[in-house]
Amino acid sequence: MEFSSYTFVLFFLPATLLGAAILMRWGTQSARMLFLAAASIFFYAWWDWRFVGVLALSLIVNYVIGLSLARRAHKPVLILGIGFNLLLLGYFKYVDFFITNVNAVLGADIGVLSIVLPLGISFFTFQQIAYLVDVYRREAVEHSFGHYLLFVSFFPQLIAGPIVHHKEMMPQFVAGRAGRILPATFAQGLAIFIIGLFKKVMIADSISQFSDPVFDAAAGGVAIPLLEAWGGVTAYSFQIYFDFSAYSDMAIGLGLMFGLRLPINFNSPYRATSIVDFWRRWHITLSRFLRDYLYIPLGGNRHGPVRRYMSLAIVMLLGGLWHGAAWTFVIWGALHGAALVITHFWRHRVLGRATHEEPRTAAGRACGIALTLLFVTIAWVFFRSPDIDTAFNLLSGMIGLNGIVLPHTYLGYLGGLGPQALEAGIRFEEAYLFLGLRQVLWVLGLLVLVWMMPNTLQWAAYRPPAGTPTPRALNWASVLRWRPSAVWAVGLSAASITCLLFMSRGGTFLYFQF
Amino acid sequence: MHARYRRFILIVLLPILLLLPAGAANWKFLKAAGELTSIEDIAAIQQRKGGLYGTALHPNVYPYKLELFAARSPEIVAIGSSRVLQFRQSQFNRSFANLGRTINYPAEAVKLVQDMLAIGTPKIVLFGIDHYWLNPAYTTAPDFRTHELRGGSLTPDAMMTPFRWLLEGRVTPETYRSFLAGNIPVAPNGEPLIGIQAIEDGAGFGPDGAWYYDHYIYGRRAAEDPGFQDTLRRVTTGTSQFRHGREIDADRVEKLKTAIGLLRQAGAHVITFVPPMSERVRRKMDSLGAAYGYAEQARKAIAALNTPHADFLDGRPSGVEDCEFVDGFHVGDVGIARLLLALARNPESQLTDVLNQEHLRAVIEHEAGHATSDRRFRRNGETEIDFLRLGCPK
Repeated sequence: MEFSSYTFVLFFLPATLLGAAILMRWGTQSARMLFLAAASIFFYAWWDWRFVGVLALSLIVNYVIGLSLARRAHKPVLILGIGFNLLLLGYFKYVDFFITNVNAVLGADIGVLSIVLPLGISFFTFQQIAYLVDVYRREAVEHSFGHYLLFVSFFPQLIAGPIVHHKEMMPQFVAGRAGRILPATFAQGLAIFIIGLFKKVMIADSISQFSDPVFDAAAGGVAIPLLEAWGGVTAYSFQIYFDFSAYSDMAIGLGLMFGLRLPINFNSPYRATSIVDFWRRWHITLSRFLRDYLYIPLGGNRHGPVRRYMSLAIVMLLGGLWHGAAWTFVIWGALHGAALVITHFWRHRVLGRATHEEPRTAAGRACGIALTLLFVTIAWVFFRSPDIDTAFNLLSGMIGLNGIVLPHTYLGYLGGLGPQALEAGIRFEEAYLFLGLRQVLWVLGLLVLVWMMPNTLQWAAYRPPAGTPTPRALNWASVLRWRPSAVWAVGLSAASITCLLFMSRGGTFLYFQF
Repeated sequence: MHARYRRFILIVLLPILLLLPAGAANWKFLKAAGELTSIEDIAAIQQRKGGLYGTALHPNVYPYKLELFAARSPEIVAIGSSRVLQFRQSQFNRSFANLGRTINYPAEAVKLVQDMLAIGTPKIVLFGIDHYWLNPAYTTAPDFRTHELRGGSLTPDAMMTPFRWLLEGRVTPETYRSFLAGNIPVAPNGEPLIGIQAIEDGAGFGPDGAWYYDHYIYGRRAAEDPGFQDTLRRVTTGTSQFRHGREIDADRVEKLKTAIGLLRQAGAHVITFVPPMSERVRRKMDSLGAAYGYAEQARKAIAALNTPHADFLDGRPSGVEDCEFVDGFHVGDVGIARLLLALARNPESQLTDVLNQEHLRAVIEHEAGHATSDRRFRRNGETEIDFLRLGCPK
């Protein structure tokens, strides 16, 4: 059940809200939490009921190990717990990848197991590893099973994050906020949810028309010319941006509707001035997990620059592999790792500045933003391509090795320059994979949105749980900030009806596959 | 303070709440249009009264075709993809059913044959095999999920769809009102029209399961493949049926053998053929060389299936021309008439006695260069136009 499906919007969500509202009036706090957990399990079972067992096994084993660690912080128990989680994830996500590579390297013929990946396993596994480590470190102290059940299974964050921290959610559970539907938070959550829904249905799913055919054609072995390659890759860059942004908004909006504040996971990443800044804005809770539970234990910045760079590279390689069991994801992670290392080296050694320091001039910032977006977009080629050949095919096109083809109608527009263009080797044919001005306008429009406009959480003045990053407050656009006014209500109502009408054409959230 | 938020929530949600009762009107609209009629009833109506079934809502061709097969108990069937949909009852002098668009890849052929044989065994099976089925890069949903979608039920998506049609101009407000009032048009010959596509466009399945492309052929709607541009785009970009590939998948050949073996075991006489592509599309594929390296291998593998067989990928030797296509890779019924006569020339096909040869020869003589000779659901005064914009004299 997608957040952007009729089943969710017209049935599951209203029914769950109604149930929570009834229990708020006549039930106890525990009953509300159990109801929300039951609804979340139902939500999960809707995809494939067989995987409820996997979720339950993971949940119960981690809870029991957590209890044991709470009694005594015994390191072997922690290692056992982490090992269990990694085995579970490894079995479902990486066994076939491993077999395929063993076959390739050793020339063996071991049959792949064709294991179906349970949805959200990467997310709930990491969330629970963090829990075990926090218990071991005495940073997680509240261990009611009901609370733990909801902490792991709460449906807005179960399938694709954010990867929530025990210490972010438990105080809210203890304060009785779960399932407490209050007009102020509900209205704000509703506004954020609708904006997210609109982004998914009307933007992310629309722009896939420019990217999918290019990647499909490249996968089929078609040599993609320059314009088409850049068109397709740029479109994908915006598709994944709006898709993940939409999902993150909807998760936060849903959390608020049910009285809970989830951490921010997405904060205008294409406005990042460097790759370091990008990872503070894109999938923030994953970056946090990798930093706290991998980078710092590997030594962080405590053992000199070489060790630090190695740790960074390892973290990003594993971060890439976390996204999917394929070499394309490993390369994507390696590219980001290399970019992080280079940025750190450049700032520390060449400029002599702190890594997190922003460029000091407007020109420096603009340059940083443009370069970061360019790098991220090129790296997405590996992320989206089904295999390495496809990625190199597209990259070849992007550097002009597959020639330049312009729509034949453009020859007329070029006037006197036409013959020179032909002489320069530009071909004027049917450019099937480039949809002309419409595509250019789409991309420019989206660029304006991501660079110039406040993000949803800025519009909505969202306040995340204490101790997590907060988006910068609105400045010039503060007059437009969301408030419970009739104008906002009518606008959001129109947006939601538009979404309801066009919802069925949509695709799955891209991050669900991880 | 709370009152402001409550008012806000009410204003946001009220139109959505109002949309739901409006959905009840959509239910009535869809019911009147026949979109909520069960496929069992549709198959029965078509056998009793004739008529055209064209749903705009349900991807239920597979179970619908099996219902039709059960209702007709035919001696002859055509099975395959949408590329065999122009075989018609009028071409045969024995009972016939067209089960086209039920097979999209070899594994589905096995499933269709099993499901069909569970209902009955036809005497002759005309099995159209698309050579791209054997290309491993050509992937389709392997889980047969659409086989269970029988239609007839009101899903949330279906409830919203008429609003979308109204917005997109696919259904006019007048039509919507008229349907709500129960005024459903019938075909000019008095036969029923079931489903929005049949009513609005005149496109759908006839009682024999053959497809009518009247919306394009008579120019009611713009054709989707003028100049074969859409098909040529697919060929160039290697998408959908035209995925590029160098080698065939041996497992898929085995699946075809299994399907044919099951039919033979049941006592059916199986004739296989490769349906034609338009000359321009075929030339384009040839020009891409190794990108379609699998094609020759596939054709050889299909020819080696040990059945009476004809390879019509190049339809020219049988007289098929581009003007007789509906789009780049779907030949119309005039072209099919040519193929049937060509097939019958092979004595092993055993088709001579079951073909309506007089009709087929008349079609070829009088309708050459046309996409269809079947005017059963034509509206008054309509004539076939050069809908592909190829410069075809019609």
